[in-house]
Amino acid sequence: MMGLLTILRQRYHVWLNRRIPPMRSVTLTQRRIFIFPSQPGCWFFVVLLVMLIAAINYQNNMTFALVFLLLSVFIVTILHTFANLSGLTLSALRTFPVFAGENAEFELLVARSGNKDYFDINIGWPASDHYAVTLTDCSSQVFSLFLPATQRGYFKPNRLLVETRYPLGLLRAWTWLALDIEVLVFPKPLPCVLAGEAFIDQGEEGGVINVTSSDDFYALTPYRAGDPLKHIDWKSYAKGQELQVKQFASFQEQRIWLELQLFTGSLEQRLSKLCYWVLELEKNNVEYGLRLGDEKITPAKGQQHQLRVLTALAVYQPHGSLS
Amino acid sequence: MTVSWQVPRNCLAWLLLSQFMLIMPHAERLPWWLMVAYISCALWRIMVYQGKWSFPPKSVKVGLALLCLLGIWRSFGSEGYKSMLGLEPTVALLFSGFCLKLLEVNSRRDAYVIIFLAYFVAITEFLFSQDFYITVTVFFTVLLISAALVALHQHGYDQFSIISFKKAGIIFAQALPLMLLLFIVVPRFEPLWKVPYPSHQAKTGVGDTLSPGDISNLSQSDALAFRVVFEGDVPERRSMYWRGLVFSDFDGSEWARGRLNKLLMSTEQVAQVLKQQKNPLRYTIIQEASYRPWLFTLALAYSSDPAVRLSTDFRLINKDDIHSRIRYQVISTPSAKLETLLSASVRAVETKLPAIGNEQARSFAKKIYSQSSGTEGFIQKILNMFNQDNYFYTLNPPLLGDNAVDDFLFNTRRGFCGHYASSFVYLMRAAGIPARVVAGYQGGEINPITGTVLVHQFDAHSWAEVWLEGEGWRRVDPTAAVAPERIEFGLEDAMSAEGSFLADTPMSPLRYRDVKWLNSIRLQLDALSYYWSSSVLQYRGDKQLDVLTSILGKVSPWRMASLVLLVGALVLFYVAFDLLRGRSKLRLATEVRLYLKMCKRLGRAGYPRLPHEGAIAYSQRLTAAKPAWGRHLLQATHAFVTLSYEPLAENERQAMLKVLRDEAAKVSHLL
Repeated sequence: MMGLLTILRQRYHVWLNRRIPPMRSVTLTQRRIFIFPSQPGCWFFVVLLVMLIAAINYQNNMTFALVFLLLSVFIVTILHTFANLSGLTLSALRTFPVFAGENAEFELLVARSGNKDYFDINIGWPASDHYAVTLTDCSSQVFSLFLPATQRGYFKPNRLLVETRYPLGLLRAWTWLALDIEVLVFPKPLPCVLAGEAFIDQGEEGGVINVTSSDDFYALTPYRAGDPLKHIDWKSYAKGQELQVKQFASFQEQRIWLELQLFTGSLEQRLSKLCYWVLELEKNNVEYGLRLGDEKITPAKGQQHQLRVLTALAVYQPHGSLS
Repeated sequence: MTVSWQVPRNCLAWLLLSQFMLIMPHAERLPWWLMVAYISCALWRIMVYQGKWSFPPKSVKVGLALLCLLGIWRSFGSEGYKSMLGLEPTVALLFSGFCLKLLEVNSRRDAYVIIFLAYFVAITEFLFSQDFYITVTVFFTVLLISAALVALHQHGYDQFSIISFKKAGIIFAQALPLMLLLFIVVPRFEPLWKVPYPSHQAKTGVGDTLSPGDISNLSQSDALAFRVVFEGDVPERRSMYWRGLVFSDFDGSEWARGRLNKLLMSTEQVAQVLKQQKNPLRYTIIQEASYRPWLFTLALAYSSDPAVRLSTDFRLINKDDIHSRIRYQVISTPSAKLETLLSASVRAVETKLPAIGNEQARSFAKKIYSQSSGTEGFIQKILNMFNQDNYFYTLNPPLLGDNAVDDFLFNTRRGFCGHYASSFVYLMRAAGIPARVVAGYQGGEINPITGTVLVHQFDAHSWAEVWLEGEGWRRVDPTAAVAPERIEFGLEDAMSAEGSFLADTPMSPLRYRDVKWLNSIRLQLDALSYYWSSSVLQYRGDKQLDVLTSILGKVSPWRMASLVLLVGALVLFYVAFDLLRGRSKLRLATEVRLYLKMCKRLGRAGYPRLPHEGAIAYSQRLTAAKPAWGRHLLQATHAFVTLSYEPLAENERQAMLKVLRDEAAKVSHLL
């Protein structure tokens, strides 16, 4: 039984993918919109049935007329509900990388092309909160949806549900959109101790300066974007000189190579621990590099570098595993 | 999310409005305390919304529900209503649920429940009346309910807003053609089971028994009793005696239907009546609800309607009490003889009088009868007596003593038709002549617009029937002897001296029939009501078949389905077109529209904007060439650029728009 259901579901997804292929920006047309009576709509029919029975039993022509009117309203509402989705364009704007276990933010745009008002459109993933859109005064709206990111790597959410029950709530028009949108998920940082050998620089550049624990002041260098704020020499800046940054000898000379072998545990745990140390080292202004499988990132620091290293951690696939 | 859900304010406003509209037409039949309960619940709900009060605790709600149940039991459990399952108690129950639910709407589901309940409550009004105005009111109320339903799905309106009503109105307008189509095509089935009808404590019209004063009470009502549509010419007013009830039993003060008046005719007797119909009057009667089974027809009537029965005293009776307007066809032959042979047992019943009482009248009758030449002469003598001996026809007769007949004939001499008919029959019987009292209506008013005869309650009348050898039952109306104008012209003329016509209902438009324009309006409204009833409310069965045949040529399921599909598709295509058209129409900002308009004017005047030219370059080029109006063009362009590219507060924006508008107007003026 379960097997059959799975097959059916797979078939459904294949069919859906053909009918509504993933795109960066999707305009809703009749090809993509489904419509069916909502739960209140079914109750509405029960009420109509009771009224019809009353009309027949009392041979009451005006009750007949009222039942026919409400039935006609229902039929016309099919078009109105449909029109409340039709013509909308949904676009994926951007995402912000997150660590596993956090909520990933997806920024989306919903826009209309004409001047027709749109009401009560709910947009969301099954697992996310739904966002209610009303387009009356403005022709587009930017909004964010949040989804919990559980696994590192590129996280591609499932199909996005766009639905409406406007104007009468008797019908539900909906569509499952595959927006071409993904978010980068870094491993979840896992605090741990870093073994001593990591500090030995094995780089080709030579000129190793031994690690000392001193915080000795070394030199002032002109400020560059990305330098830690706490190292800025505020005193000289206050005197009217240009913005300068204090360089500390002990940090400057440290170059650390991070590798999987430094840590124990499963692959994911090791990656998590690596991630923790990337953040720690960056915070402490230490230059660090990464050797991970075939990937080799020379030691450096700064936001760009950190992003590069974290991305490598996020997408790492060990040899031997598929895909 | 577990944030407590709130009904949108706009939705609540429309809901309260539609509830009020629903309850108003029911006001006359709902107990007063229910109205008070509804208003208090509505006020409480408003206070809750303003944040001044909180929702009532559960105990209060349960208490209120119990109170309502108790109230309904007290109001309807007593006499007059057959059971608590009658229509009125059910409606009262629905309304109590309706107003209590107001205090409990705290989820979207509850809102749906109360709105669907409102739809259902709307039809209850139709079970009591389907008048044109009631129908318009109810359909408008349904529109209001739908506006509430729309408002439930429109967020962002903190206050009452007409926008929901507009949307609902558009949907209704589009649904209307489909409704008409369904109304015309869908066949009306026979009732599935028997249902309770309005119990209506006050049954109207002529009653089961007749005491002399009864008819005068009826005469105070201007309600329509029934309406007659003659196929040929309308007979003379004085010959229109609408028989409804025959009373053969007299107990000294009150006439009642006897055993013989309750018998139905056998098949042979019915066939006999049909055989007597030679060159009959053909007419249709539209009887208003009377909550009684009596039908009113001209003498010797026959109807082939399956719901109509004939009684042995030549009356038509409906199968059931008449709860709603019914319509049936009748043929009548006024010249036909009624019961030429009278069996001994029937003769005994029709001459029977109470053993004692009214002795004076009894001996008076015997004395006069002995002085007269046969039955004919006796009847004439009595009628002459009414005509000449100071008898008065009045709506306000004095009260009569124990021997009512004696008291009236020899003492008060003032009475209404019941008094005359009753005492006349008494005198006949006292002389041994078979006679009986007949009650019904006399006369009627012709509406010249529709050509139908309107018979009102104040046309109620009673007269006598006397059996004569060889002739059968002959109609004798003693009232005609006292007040011939009653028979010739109607009650209003007969009472003109006394001024008592519809004295209790000063607002009745029937009192002002001599005011020409008022009367014309009244007759036109009546015509509307007639056409509404005959062509819309009675649209079923043969009538429906006729209409369908005239549209389709031949009525078959195929043709009906094709009609529904064709018209339905046309309407829906139009609606779809209308809805989807607005999708791609771009709405330009006001300033862009104004600027482009100005550019178009300039282009037509010979100064087109070059394709590569920006707004500022364009204006500078033209200003150099035509300084006369260039200054205004510069200002307009400046305003346009400011509006387009600078963030402005609303009032600044409006001021800028005004500048743009004014300057553009000056440019086109100077061109």
